[in-house]
Amino acid sequence: MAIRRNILTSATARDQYVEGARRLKAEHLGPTTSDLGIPGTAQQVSTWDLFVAWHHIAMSRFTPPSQTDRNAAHRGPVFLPWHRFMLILLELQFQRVLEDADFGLPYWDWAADGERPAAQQPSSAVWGADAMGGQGTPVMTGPFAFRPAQPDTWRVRLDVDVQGRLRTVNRGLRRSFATSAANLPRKSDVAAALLLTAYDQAPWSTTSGGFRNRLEGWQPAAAAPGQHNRVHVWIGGDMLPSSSPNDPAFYLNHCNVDRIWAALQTQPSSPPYVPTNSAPATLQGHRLDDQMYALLSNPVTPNQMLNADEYYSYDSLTVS
Amino acid sequence: MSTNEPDLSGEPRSLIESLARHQEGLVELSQGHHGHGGPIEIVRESTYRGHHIVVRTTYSISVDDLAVEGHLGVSNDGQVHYHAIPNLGFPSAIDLVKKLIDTFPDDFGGHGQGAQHDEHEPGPDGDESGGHDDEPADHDHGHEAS
Repeated sequence: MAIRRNILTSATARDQYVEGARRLKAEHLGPTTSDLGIPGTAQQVSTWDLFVAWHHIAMSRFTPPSQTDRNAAHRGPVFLPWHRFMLILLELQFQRVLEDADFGLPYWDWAADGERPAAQQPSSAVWGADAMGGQGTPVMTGPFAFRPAQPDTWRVRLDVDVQGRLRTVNRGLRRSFATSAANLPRKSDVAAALLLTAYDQAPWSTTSGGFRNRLEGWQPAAAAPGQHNRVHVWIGGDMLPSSSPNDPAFYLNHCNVDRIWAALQTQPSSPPYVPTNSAPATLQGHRLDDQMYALLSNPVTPNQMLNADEYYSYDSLTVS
Repeated sequence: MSTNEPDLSGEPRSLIESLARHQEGLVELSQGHHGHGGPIEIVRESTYRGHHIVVRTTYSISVDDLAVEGHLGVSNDGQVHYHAIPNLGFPSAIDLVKKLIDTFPDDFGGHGQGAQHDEHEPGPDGDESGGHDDEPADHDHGHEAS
């Protein structure tokens, strides 16, 4: 069974992640941009980029369509189980291309780096040339650097335009550390979330109290963006748009978010997932046994994602 | 798993067949809800002391000559958000559009007129040019400089 490890303490997990990402980026199983509803000449879409598209498309499904806050993967209760679903499916792809059924996605304990002075945070080992590489427009260091002369260089091939439309591009990865948020989240932020006594609360949106919204990063509003959102915003560049899975750092962030949720779930008084099935239809897609939006697999429910022991475990649930 | 186990697979066939089953509505979802050239109407609803509140707000946004017509939302606490930059909320639509200009340099064509006199704060090294080191995009439908 897969064990998900800290990318800063497991060189094996780090190197496998880099290798697996590059293989998935180079793999074309047949789907094209036309299959994703992108106009223009059809182009092959890599397995990696299919997950970019899935994330964007899930974000475009408002739940329900009559409101503009909650969507099928964010800004509502389903945020945590939907991303656990996404990570498991991606992890299965990694296991296949690495031919290692025990491979586990690594996580980045960003709150540990958040304890460092803000000026030192861009120097974290996670941004080293042997890990994710650094910042730039495009990124020019590390395994995901843009080297146009090399045919296997890391290229962003799908992103969104300012109108929120998925489109084809051909460019290097972009990051801009600390431009839109000065510092990373801290351990005290994570600890405060773990003290909350509700998983989520009405109105089940970005204005809700509860653990999900705190970890997603919308509350407390005066400190937003927090936690998950803050990591996206601090990294900047391609981590800002809805095509953020373009950056391999996306999964390091979400694996840590999932680890924090897993830590909550091990607490003796862990709050149960809500809303339950008796909630009104306006919460369809977020209730316990509702199907979550799937593009690359059969759908699953939040209930089916509450216990992922069959798929993976973490090397440590010490999160704060 | 706690109840019925999910049917998940890393096999290519599973992925391809699933994608083929989810074609309905995919064009609308991947290409956004707006883009019709008109203003964006936001509807907020709430209930207070048994009364049903409906607030309709209409936005018409342009930058230079480019209409910004992607999916914009306003939460009930007044925060404005935009689908294309999903991890941020803004106290005003002006602040939101400034961030759009920073985030999508390719769509706005770099500096506008009078850039040296405006409120824009420079980004880090190499972050203002709109990706001058990159190769040209091979798409034919994205908005270019206006």
